[in-house]
Amino acid sequence: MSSLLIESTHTSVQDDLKSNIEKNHPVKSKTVSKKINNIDTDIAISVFADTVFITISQNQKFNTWIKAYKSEGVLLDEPSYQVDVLLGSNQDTLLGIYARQLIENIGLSSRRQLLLSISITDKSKDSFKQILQTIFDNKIW
Amino acid sequence: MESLSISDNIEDSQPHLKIEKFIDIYEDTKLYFMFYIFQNPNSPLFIWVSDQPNLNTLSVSMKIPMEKLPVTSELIDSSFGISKDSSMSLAQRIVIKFKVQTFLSINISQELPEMTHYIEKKIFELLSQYIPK
Repeated sequence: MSSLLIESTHTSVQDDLKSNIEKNHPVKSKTVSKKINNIDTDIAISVFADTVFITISQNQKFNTWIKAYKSEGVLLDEPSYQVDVLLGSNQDTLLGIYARQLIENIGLSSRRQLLLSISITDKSKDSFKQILQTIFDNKIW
Repeated sequence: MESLSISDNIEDSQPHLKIEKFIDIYEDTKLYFMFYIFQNPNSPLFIWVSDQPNLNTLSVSMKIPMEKLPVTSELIDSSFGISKDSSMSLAQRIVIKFKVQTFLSINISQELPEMTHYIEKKIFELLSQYIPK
């Protein structure tokens, strides 16, 4: 009984410490884990002062890293988007489309650039929509 | 027109990725740490250390066959703060110690060897605590 009490107090102190760090840490983060089309999908979002870092992983890896940013148009009103693969496959158009969709959404409310690490095993259209929807439902930028 | 509705086959699952954060003070400088750790012990790590809330450097280090030391490459290059050499050799030492591919973003405004040494010690200490044995 007493050991249970000690354990519970210890857990509560750890929780307090964790919540204190979260409150004072300048980078806000959120993680979401879902089964999407029956595949375990981990999504993490961290918002830095200059960058939104998004991780999408269906196999506990980071695999492809992509950087994307929005440039405001000078002559035309239309903004343009730059998407660069830093590491991994630059042949996979789908990964670039993920980055493009995400930076477009980020660009609506923020001037931050996007850093995306993406490792997906399900490349279906349905999965694409569900992953993006999950990110937009949980956005913290 | 194709429907844009999202089908409802999403359900919560066990998380395989956790984010750990830590704040420390070295002399007058506040240091912020963040770690992305997958459940699989062979999965890569992402580590961010900075004295400001920016992510403007990134290097990757990993062990490859035929090479004795881990190979390191810079993905986002910043001329600001801690030198490229210090950052890349720290990433290498993390790979040697924890034996997994490591993505490191370290961005400290001033390069003091003592502080860099302190940060390395702290990263090793925190990772030993966070990574399940």
